[in-house]
Amino acid sequence: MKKVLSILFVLTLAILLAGCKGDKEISGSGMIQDVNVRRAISMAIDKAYYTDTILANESYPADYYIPYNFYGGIGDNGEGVDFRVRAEQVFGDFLPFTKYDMPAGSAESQSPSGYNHYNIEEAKQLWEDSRKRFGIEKDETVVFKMLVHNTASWTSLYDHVKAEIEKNLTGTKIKIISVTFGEKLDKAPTGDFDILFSGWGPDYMDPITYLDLFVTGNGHNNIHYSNPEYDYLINQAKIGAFQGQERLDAYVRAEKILLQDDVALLPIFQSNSVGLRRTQLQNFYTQSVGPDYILKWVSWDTTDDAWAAKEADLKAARIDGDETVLKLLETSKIPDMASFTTTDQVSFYNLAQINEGLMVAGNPQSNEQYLPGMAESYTVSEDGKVYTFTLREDQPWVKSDGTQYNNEVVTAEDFVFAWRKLADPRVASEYSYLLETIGVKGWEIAYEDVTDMTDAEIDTELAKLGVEATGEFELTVTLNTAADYFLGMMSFPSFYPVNEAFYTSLGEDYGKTLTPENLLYNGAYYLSNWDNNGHTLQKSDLYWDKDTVSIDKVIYELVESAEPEVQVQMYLDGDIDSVILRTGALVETYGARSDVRTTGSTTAWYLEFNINNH
Amino acid sequence: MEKLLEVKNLNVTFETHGGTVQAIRDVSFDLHRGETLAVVGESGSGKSVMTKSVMRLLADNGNIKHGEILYHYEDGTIVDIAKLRDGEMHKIRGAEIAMVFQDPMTSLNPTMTIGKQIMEPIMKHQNLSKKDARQKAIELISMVKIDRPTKRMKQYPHEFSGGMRQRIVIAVALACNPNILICDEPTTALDVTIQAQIIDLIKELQQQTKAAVIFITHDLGVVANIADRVAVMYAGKICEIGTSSDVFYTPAHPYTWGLLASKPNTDNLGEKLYSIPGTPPNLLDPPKGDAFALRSNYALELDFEEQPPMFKISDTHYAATWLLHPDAPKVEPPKVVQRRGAKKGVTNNG
Amino acid sequence: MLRYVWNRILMIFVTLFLILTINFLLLYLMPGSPFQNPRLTPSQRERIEDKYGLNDPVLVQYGRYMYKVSKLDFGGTIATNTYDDIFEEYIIDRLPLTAKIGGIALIIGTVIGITFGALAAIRRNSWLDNSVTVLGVIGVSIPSFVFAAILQEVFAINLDWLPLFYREANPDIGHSLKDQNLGMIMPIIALSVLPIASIMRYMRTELVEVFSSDYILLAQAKGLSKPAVIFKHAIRNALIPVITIIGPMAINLIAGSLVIERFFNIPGLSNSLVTFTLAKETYATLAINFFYSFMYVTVILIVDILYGVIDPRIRLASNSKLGLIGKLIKSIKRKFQSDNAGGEVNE
Repeated sequence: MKKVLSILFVLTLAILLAGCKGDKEISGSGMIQDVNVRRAISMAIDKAYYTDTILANESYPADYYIPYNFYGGIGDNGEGVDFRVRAEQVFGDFLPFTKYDMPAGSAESQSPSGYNHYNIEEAKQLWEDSRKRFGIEKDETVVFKMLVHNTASWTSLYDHVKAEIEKNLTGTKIKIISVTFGEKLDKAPTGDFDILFSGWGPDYMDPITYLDLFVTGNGHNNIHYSNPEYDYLINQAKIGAFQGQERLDAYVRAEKILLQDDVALLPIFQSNSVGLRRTQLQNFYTQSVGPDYILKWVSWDTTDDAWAAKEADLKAARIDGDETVLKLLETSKIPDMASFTTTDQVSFYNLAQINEGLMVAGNPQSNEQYLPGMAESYTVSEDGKVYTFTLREDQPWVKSDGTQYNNEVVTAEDFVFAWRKLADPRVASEYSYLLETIGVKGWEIAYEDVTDMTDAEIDTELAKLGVEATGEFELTVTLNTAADYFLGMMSFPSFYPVNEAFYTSLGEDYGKTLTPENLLYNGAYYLSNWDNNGHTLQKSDLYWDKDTVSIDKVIYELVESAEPEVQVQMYLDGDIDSVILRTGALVETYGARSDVRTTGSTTAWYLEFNINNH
Repeated sequence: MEKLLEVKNLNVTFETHGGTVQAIRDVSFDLHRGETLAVVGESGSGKSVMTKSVMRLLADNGNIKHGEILYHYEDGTIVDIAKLRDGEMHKIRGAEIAMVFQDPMTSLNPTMTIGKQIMEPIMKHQNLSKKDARQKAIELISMVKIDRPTKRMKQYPHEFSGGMRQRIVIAVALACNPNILICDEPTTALDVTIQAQIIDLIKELQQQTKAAVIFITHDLGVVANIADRVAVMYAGKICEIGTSSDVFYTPAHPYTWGLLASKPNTDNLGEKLYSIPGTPPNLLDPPKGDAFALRSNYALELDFEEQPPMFKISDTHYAATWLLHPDAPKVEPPKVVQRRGAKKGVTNNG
Repeated sequence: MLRYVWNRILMIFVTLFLILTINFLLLYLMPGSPFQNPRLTPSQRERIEDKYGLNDPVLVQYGRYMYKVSKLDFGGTIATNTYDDIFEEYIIDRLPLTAKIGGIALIIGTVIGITFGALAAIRRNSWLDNSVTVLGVIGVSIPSFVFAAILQEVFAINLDWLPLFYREANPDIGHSLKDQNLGMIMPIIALSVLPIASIMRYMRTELVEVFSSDYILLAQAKGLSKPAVIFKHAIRNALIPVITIIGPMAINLIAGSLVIERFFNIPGLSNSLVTFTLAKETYATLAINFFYSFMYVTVILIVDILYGVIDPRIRLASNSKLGLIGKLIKSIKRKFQSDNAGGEVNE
């Protein structure tokens, strides 16, 4: 056995040596700082092959950073404008590139235009020129280190990128450094990579949520990129120096600097998903920001025509007399429902159904991104730094049995209490960074070292946070700088109100997993059931806007790590009303059904080049 | 003497992956009531297979090809064991014919009390109540000379030494007063000092119970001590059978000569011990002629061609060797063997 | 015996301590942080980790943890406030279902395994024996989740006889108690494949060996009928070694349930272990690991003691009328005496 092993070892060594014979490997970390090298790499990758053939889920190949279907701001006519549409208006003529064909069935026939479109000839030319310029010998191979996280579903992308670059740019080698997600978070800031795989979804409905990452010195700027013009545009936009169309154009210019002038990023694609969904479901649309769906707006088409004869049983199960039911699949359990400490998408999603902030995400069919929620109205100061919200006075706090809690209604104090919890260094909420994002006055307390301070001292510091109850139903928020995405953020669960008396009665157990009774509700739904097999959202009769809410009961069945095929089977069996087709094979099998729905997402997936010019 | 067991032309084969092993080849002998027949031979000579055939305890791949094993009941009925159905066989085993095995360390069930193991055959064959069976079992334990029998009843085999265990096995065998007691090398696995005790015990118990004993051994010394008659087995056949003195003092078969010559005794004291050259034949493909011819210094040409029949030497003494044929050349047995014969003459004369 | 048990219990504590220490160090060395939100900048993450003392020297963290454990406080989840006390809220809560399904699978596995293993040994080289051998090899070599997938495909999807998943009874959302019980059938079958196959093979081998032993020959020579020989002499002796593998088998089942619980959506103990580990929830992972290790060493101790009860060579007391304590005392006395007397003289 030892002998066999040693022979194998020698053989492997021999093959490795033979493979390297004559080829000297040199690090590409110097070359990656050259813009033409970056452009060569950007143009060498056939993104459409990845989205259409490998993924095959109607995702868009992207030559742009800020996704399609993302509103960029308010246009000339006062309506929301798709950022990409605007980008095309500004630079459409300038960009001489071919567009990708968009998936059949989508409204557009061509993809939004972008930068550094796939072009092998040009890529090759740029690469050869660069090689000469850097004095790379014929027998030398340039090695680029690509840092990625080892989630199984991404490996086909990594392999594709590696194969395309190595194939199209002679004498290159991509060394994939695959680590766990957590490890990547640790490793990326050290700068020990040439190319970094990343993805980013929006926190709020403003392109700054994407663009801010590459401002000089931003904590997420792992490539240490710095461009004074870029910084100027973003920082000015942030403090409200530009308004309306002007601001949108500033963003468009910033994106061009990032992608066209400096080639800091190599966008790969904008992910979409294909799923099956009951054709009778109305207003069941994905939100581009925040929770996937807002159930408040969803309804069943109850007309007889909408339901086929063979669906009679299903209809009876869903529209049972007076009660309408929606059944959905949950693939991950809700970890934590305390709005000021929770960190994950599942919890945020469910909090968005059971609680309501100052603002509420708008009906997806309208162009409004957000509508007044707990705030009936608001005023903004001249300099845009002070917001005064007038709260509605009739929203009770609801218990998990659907009745009112101690005759209490939502007041300004409930917001103050929740925000202070979010900022409290003793709570150490992961999402306290949002206070920094929106720039609430005094957010720094969240990260202060308070080990030597007494509780009273900390409370005094917290009281200085820019959130104040200026009346029982009047809330005043003071910001360091004006940011008009601030209002949009008010629909985010971390800023939801919490009843202090109720919280105090429970302490740490507030919002804890599997305890619907340890929560108070002020949203369209309350949790009537929550166990290891899922949870049920029951329509709240005490909700101020209950007439808008159509579905009476939403049942979530928790099936962790079910195979994609099994999830589809549950849909076909009538156990759930919506399912995502997670594999190309499933899309192929079911893609032609009448209940197929493509769901867009505004998450951008891209590679970052380690420019390191800062 | 009254016949108890007649084995006629017994042939036993084993089916193995290598082919058919002819373990017992045309063996015939009689056993008389109350006598002790010793069966002697090397390992693999078929002595154990022969007794297991009599008990019908052959392994699954073993078959009695042909031949008869006639058992004479006391009332005169005769049955052919070779053809008995399993149900009837269960009535013979333990009750008519009982057996003591070679290794006392493994022949008792480790998880059953001694008492239970002795009572089992009693209750099976004698329809005694549990209480009576217990009483009988206690008697049996005393009979095989183990102290504190009542206490012993509750003990497990691991609490006994090898010698004690063999006594227990003997007690089990004698539990139903069998007519035949087969002892398959009962002392081989025991210390020398204990061997003698066990043999004495068997002898003594045989006198008490009047059972016939088939005593299998490869140790000629033991044979001389216990046997009335001796059968010498080689390569699945009996090559010589006769009374103890026939075989010991006037052996006729070269194999018997070899066996006697290779045994240390007062006659060959100080001499280099003889050992039979070669190895026993492969019974997958037994030789055509005398199986011992290849190893024999006295082999005739005919030995390689044809199997010798049993020649009668006296009323009690038979041997299967062509040397006994009237036309055969006169051959002198080895000196050691001659000396034995002479010794016998001396004893007889004296 | 008492001393033996005492030593064993002491060893259990040492083992558990080592397991906890090694696990703690391994998890400490595992890269990443429980705060895996990509929105956090490195400096924000570091500040939060500081709050939880995750950047303290390893010895400080270890000491702090061990001090808490010594007060039987195993901690909770770090990044979320899902569990304050992982032991009380998670393990104790979820153990019954895992134990129920695993227990039934083990009982089924043992009964079927012993029965068919015994039948195969009795009818050696028959078609039954050959099938048992083939099925046994298939059963131990194919992982349980493959069976789970096949079962789901056949009985839930194609035939529609059984529910795809385990669903806890909840009339409010239309899941009856019947659904709940039906939902346990497939996981139990999938889990019991391995014990059935292993015990079957083991039982067959052991019984074949027992059949070829001298004491079976002696039993036959006594004139006992075949059933009497099998049941009174063979089975019991073959069972002794089989019992020794049932303990490890129970542990295997725990490992198997890691996959099966996820597969059939069973809210049991094993379901979240992987999630906790990947999320670098050190305390939750440690607590569950600790619990499994505890189960493991305990099961082995029990099997050893059980073994003694069944096998008289190991069993010590001779008087069955004494209670357990009496037996222990008597055996100690005996040992004492025999030590002085230089052993009992039998001959």
